[in-house]
Amino acid sequence: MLVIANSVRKVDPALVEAAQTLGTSSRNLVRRVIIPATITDIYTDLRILLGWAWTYLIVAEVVGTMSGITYFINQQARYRNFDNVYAAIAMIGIIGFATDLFLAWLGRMLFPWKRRARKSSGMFAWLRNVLAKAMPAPSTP
Amino acid sequence: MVAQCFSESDASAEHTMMHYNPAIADYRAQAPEVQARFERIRQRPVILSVRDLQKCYATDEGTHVVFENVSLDIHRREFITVIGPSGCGKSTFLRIIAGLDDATSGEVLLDGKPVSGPGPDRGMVFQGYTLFPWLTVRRNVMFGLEMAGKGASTAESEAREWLAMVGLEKFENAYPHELSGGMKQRVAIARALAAEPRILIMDEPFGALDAITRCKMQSHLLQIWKKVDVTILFITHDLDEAVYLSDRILVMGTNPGRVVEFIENRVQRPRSVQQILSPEFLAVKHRLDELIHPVIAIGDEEKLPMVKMTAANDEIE
Repeated sequence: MLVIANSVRKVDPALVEAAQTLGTSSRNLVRRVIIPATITDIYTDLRILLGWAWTYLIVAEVVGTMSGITYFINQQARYRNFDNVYAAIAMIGIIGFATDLFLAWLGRMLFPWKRRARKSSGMFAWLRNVLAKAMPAPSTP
Repeated sequence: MVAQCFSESDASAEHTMMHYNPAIADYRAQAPEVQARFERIRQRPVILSVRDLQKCYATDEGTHVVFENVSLDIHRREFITVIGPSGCGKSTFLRIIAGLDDATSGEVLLDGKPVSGPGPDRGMVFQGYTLFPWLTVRRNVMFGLEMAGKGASTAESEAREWLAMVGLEKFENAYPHELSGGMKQRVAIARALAAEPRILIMDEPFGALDAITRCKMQSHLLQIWKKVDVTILFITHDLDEAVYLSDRILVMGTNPGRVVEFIENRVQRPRSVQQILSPEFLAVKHRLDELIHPVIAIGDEEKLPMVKMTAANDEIE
């Protein structure tokens, strides 16, 4: 709730004013301006909160449960199967990371106006840049 | 206002002297065509009427007057530019007309009816474009039409027409972040005009554009204005822009903000870029310069307290 209130506060007042000079009623203002202007921020906030939720879930599992991935870690540690322990730890990381990547992709699908046009950006931009330098495109005669 | 006769010999005399002293030409002298045109403008109905407008706000040191005693009448399809030094309250003045701010006293009448709050009868174009980033160009232009309760198909075809008018029909499906500054501002103009306002208020719309784009946008705006039944109130701080575009120029001063002069622009229409060096143009521009930058006595210019950081004999002037 606090997160949403904060996003709404960040809406550019000039956008609200522009909408008003175009004859927008206050009901339409919320539906047509405030919500679309905040939805991407709220989505990003939710992504971050999901990361926290995942962390807390793991911590909670360590203390309490009789099933799940942390239970598996504890159990295998008792049997000294450390290869399984590390595999499970890696799984935690991979699941969290994959979920976040999926949500980022979903965000780009849902909010096309946030996509930057034909610009090398994102997580692997540096890698693409390095590859582009290492393998220059053959020059056309 | 004294309207002097304008003859061929006067013009050439002015022209030769212009290079030495632009103050010679009288900014009030109007050619007969220009006089006749202003006569026709005065016969048109008054669209916007401002009466004794005043804006103050309370600060810790007492009341601060942003501007006072602003009264004026604007006729249908006039092009008015508002110019003044920073802090003269010209932006606040326009925001009050748009209904985005409240006046302390006085009133604004649109077609004889007092305005309260923002509405679609007063369109606004801001310096910062303010396009909705989540809508495509076409949907941005459709926004005002939809708010007016028009059906989707009507709104869509009208939006296409407005985009064609500003020459952006090819970009209707692009998002604002994919456009250049000049293109964004053209979309903003189309969006404001699509709502069919009585008056279009523009707050330094080309201030963020580079010189070449700005020049193109100015002639573009004049072409649009000729084709559309709209009155334009245009804020700028660029003297050339103020003279090039306007029928009349409202010059505001500071401390407190007020109207210094409402100048009838004697430069003939249709306007072209070549006129920027014509004697009439320079006369009006010189008058604006006089009003906005009062003559500073020689030697009075502000000297910056600067320590010399070069070698003693290394002078550049």
